[in-house]
Amino acid sequence: MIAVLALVLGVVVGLVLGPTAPAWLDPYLPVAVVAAVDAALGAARAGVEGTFDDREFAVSFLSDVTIAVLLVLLGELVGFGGALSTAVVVVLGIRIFASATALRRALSER
Amino acid sequence: MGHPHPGEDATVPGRGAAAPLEGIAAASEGAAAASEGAAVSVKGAEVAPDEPEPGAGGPVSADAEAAPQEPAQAVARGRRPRWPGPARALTLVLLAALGFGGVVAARSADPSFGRATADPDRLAASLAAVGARDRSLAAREGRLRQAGTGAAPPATGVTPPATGAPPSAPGGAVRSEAAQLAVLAGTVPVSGPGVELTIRDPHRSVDASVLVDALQELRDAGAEAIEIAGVRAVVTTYVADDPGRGLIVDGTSVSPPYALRVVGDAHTLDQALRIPGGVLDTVAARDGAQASVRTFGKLEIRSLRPTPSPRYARPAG
Repeated sequence: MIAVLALVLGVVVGLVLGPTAPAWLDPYLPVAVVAAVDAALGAARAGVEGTFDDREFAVSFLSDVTIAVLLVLLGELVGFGGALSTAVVVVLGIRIFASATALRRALSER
Repeated sequence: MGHPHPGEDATVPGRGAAAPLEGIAAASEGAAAASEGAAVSVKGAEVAPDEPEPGAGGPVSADAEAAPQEPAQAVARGRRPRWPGPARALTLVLLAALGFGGVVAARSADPSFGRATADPDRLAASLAAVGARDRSLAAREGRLRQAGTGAAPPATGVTPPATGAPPSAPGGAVRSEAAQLAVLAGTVPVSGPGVELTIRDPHRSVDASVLVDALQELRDAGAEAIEIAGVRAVVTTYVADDPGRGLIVDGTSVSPPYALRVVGDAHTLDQALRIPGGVLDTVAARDGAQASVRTFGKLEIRSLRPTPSPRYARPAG
């Protein structure tokens, strides 16, 4: 519950402050956000299943985001352009769906 | 990259003990070590379970045990100790960061926030759209001002059609408006900042459409007075091809090089002509043709037009 409040708080702060990301962040921010959504959904699922742990959430959140961004950076360095970020988004999207399915199942089994 | 897979939990030893409620610090480190075998190739991972200090939930130590989440998740299922304070705070901060980042990303993806990454053609298109909007708003402002304050002249350079100032208007305002209309109608010489666009065309490959485009581009960019090859351009100006010789501008035959002298914001005009895919590029694409722009802090246009004397149209109202 409080986690949802924190999420909402972040959204509200973002809307109120209305920042624009610096241009060099443009390729990385969307991927980082998708990775973070994946981590958050995985955490929600873990929470429903009773296996949630703050430290692991922090680790997976930070490492997922970092790795996603690094992959995109690597793709740009070796000349894939946006292709690797598409790949990252696809993989994360699959994981998000998998988490969502597990979450739904866990909720319906309750 | 870690996230829980349902199947993985079963493979990890140390699982199966009743999961402690979140927020309760159960102090049994040993069980965590049993699951360490599942940690995949992460250096420092073996250190993590033995960390006794309460601050271990912070991001630094989180990096140190950057193990995939699968084993770590199983650890949580076991009797891993928890420090709800800092770790929970970090969780909330990360979630807030997610919300914040999502908003920022959404705003960045909004086309109206597109900036340096947009390609020049799209920038040119949006510039033209903004220019058109600007002009329509300025015209509207002019109309509203007239409606609101009688004959007060519009504040902008764009003068509404000469529907005639009400007779009650103050003399100064009328004279000022008359002067503005004279500039528009090309009946008075003008001077001011501006640019000179020279189009050299030895092979006669520049046709009227290029000059019409250039004229339009200059008007978009806020040109207030234009002279094409010695002919003052006004609202009725036309450009036609004159095969073999050059072009016809308002009935006057002109031959290259064509010099367009323009009074307006010199920097804006210069940029409008240089924009990728714009006038300079178009001319350069023609066989042998070349265009160049020079900006002037002060430039005079001396060519004139006879005062228009409408035979039929009379101001209404």
